[in-house]
Amino acid sequence: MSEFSSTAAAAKRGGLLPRVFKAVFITVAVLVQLTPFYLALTTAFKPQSDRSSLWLPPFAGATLENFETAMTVGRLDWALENSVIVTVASTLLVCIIAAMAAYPLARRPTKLNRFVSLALLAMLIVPPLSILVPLYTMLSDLGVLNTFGGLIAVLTTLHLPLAVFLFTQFMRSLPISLEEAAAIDGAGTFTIFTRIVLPSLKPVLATVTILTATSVWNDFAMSSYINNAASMRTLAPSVAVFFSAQGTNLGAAAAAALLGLLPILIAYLALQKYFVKGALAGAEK
Amino acid sequence: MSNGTLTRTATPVTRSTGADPRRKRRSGRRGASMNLMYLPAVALLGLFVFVPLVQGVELAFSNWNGYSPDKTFVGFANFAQLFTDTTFHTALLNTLLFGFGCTALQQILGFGLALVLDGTGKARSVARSAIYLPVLVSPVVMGMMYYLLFQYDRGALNDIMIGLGLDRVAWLSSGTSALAIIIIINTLQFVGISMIIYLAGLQGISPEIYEAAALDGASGWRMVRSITMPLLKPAFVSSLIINLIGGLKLYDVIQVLTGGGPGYSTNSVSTLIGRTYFGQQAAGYASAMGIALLILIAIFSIFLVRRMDRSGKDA
Amino acid sequence: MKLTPVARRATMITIGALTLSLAVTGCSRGDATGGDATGGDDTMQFFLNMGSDTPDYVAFSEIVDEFEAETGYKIQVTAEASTFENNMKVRLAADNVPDLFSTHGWSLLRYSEFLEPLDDQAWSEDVNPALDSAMRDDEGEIYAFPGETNVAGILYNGDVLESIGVDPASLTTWDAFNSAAEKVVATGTPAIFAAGKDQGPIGHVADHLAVDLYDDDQKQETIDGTFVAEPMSEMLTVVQEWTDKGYFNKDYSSASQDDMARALADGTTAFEFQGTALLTQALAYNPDANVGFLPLPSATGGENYLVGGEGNNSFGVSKTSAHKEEAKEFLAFLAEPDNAAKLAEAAGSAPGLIGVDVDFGVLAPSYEKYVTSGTTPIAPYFDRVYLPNGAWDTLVAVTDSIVTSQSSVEAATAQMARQYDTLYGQQ
Repeated sequence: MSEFSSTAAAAKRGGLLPRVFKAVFITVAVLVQLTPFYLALTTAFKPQSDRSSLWLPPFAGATLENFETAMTVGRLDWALENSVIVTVASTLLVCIIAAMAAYPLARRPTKLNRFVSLALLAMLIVPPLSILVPLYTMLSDLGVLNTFGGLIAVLTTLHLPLAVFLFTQFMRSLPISLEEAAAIDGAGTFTIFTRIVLPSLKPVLATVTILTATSVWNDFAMSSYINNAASMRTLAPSVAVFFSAQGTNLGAAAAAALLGLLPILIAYLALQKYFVKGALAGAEK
Repeated sequence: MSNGTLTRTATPVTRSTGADPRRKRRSGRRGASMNLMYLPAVALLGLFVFVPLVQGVELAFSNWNGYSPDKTFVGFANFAQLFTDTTFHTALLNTLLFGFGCTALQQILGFGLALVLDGTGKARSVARSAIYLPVLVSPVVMGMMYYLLFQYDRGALNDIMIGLGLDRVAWLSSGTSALAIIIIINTLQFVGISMIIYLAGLQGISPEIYEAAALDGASGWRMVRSITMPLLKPAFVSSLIINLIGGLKLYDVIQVLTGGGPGYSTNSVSTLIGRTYFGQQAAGYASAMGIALLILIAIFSIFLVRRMDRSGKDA
Repeated sequence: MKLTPVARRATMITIGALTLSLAVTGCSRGDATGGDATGGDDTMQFFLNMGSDTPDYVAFSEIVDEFEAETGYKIQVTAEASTFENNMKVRLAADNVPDLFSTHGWSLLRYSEFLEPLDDQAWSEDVNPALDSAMRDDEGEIYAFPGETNVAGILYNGDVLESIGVDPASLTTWDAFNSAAEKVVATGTPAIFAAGKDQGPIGHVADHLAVDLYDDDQKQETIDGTFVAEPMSEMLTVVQEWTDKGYFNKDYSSASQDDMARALADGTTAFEFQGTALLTQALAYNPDANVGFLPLPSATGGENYLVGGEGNNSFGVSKTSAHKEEAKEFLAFLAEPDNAAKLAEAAGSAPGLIGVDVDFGVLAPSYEKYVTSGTTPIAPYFDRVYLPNGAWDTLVAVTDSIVTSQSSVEAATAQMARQYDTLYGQQ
């Protein structure tokens, strides 16, 4: 069922040299990508007094004190919980709102809709700082600073443009015949959307989910201002706590970073099957 | 996936003779209510992005310091200053460099990786996840991890240099090498996204096309060039846009590694806006910078999307 | 986990609905003290410029806990480190000011329009007179409680100096300093370690030198709106000479303030120009480090001097706070000798009030010789008193451009002049 296409196999030709080259290429790529994580690992497990080279594992004795510091001083326990709530809610909202928005933009390319598409896409390039103070003032006046609702609303909004774009692109490539048939049968717009369009969105839905969830999970700029109180902080600002003028605790920062990576890594590994599987479903005739 | 039987109506709808009035009416009615579906998105973006943006535009015409209640109107002075401010020009160039340079590298690398890693097998699966791993961390964290590599004192790279008997190098203290390092870091962090997008695109190409081409005598690289690449255009567009936006908005990595230095040489427009807004307490000028960047990118995006639309219509 | 499609969808929808309802009710988590995250009506908001894993913070939390126990008032402390200033500015702009917050040296010059005047408080008359120029306005009004008197000078590592045969106490002229620096550089160690990445420390070099190079008339002119360029050029020329002679550390651009503390702790530098709090950080990294501080020599024939002023741990009360009286009570609590001493010791600084005994530990000799005895004049931070608000960043930038060889002394001075005019016009 979860078969990868054999395009690559069909396109490949035998021969030792290309295969060796490919193997070296991939090995180098993997090593390069993993090196920073390895350094973070060794740093996280060494006590502050261990000044040995970062390449070396903690031969002098590994310690969990950095992880402890991260959890107690950095309040990573709160941060992880907060991030989970904010990320799940935002991602869900983004998927629903963006898919809904993409449908008319993909299927009804009127002048108005083309303008709306462009305008939404334009929101992608707004530098966060440009809207920070007015946005912060608005949130403060509404009284939703340091709440889940406020942060979720803002992060959802900021991730809509890309999601709408991806959904629109994908929907345009879906054959319209099924929808038209259902319309002739008398189905309403919303029914067509939920019964026919949504189910075939699986592959792009997986893409949007992972991209949005990762981005919200790791958001730093907005979260650090909007949810500033220690109990409401999310992940990235909590890692940044260890970079202060009074002393940078790289070990604790590394520990916090690694702890924060775990949940999103698990989510990715669970979702990646959907990423590539079922890509054929949309192209089915 | 069958949806019940398609019933043919007694009066077949012909498209070639212009729109059937009945069909038009129906689609017109359906159409209007359809637009309601993007209302939530538009409302949210209007409220939380557009409105603050407009208020930000006001700031660009003022001399505000970022926190006190008084703002003095200064007209176009801030925008005029942009034309002579070499720091801003450097930042702009850097931003374009980060945006297009990283994106180009990511497309090439991403496509190559997707080609090689397409297929089943544990090894491939593990490799794909490893390459995608950096995408999952915050850019702040990524910057911190690479700082462990590049820092002068006890940095991993310098340890190797010492091990080889060479002098330590201050990798981040020269404008050129710092820029190169930032480009490399951003490229590597997000190359996984292009790889995944191209992979999904590759999955969507049915094997029959390749088989047919093989029968015609096409092989290896030629097939990639004439069949795979054209069919991947939608994937290319998505990947391009995602990477480009990320590169143009680059902020956290620069802050963590160089703070915009040495001097002002590695600033992107985003970091310069931050420094100007908070450090120099020139919030009005910073706003003007943001708007200038927006206008530049908007012009480019409109151009790009028009080309996309056109090629989409041809497809 | 293989669920049937229907079951999977149902689960997802339930999870989704739960999180959404959580989100929509805008509810927030209560914090450890059981209060609402935003504080609710009877909790005071205290916004601190401190890392939460620092000795300052530990000492501070203890004091807060004691206060809460004694008075029954609630204080919610948020410690923000590197993003404190930016956050503070955003909050001021949005009129969302915390009840109490760190003024980190800027109570008079930046924050005074937002702060409650505190001259009527009992501790006000005990404020160290050395802080008057930094913290009191023309009418003698004070706007923050000084938890410390920041003292800055030439920080040194005694072991490094010993290894080249120099006695720190002998460094009373710039000639002596320069010759010592030459010897240090000859051994392959940087003479002066500064952090370029953090956009701050190099500004201290500028401040320390400038306050001596400007004479009284020139200082007055600068306050009154005319930028006097010659002393600025002189200062930058000194920095240029130091750069040319290779005194600065090679990784200047990517070094952080934390690296500065480490360099002193590990003995990989001889001198640094910063506040004495950095010595405490260095001692935290290496309790056996032989470190101390010296006054700056005068280049104009005046007395050797230290630079000082309002320290990081100074706290003000917001003018718009709903808990002014309780907040002032808290400051009075901080003024009690034991608490004041605790704060100053944790920060590694001199106390902000007179009559408070602080145990300076390893640094006691330096403190007694130069600070407590009162024989060394303490000059204010040049940019805070004489340059318009916001000029600090430019001072840092132009000095940095000399060290990184990105600019010439003339161009840097010109840039400073331009920015001075812009900022002066902003006031």
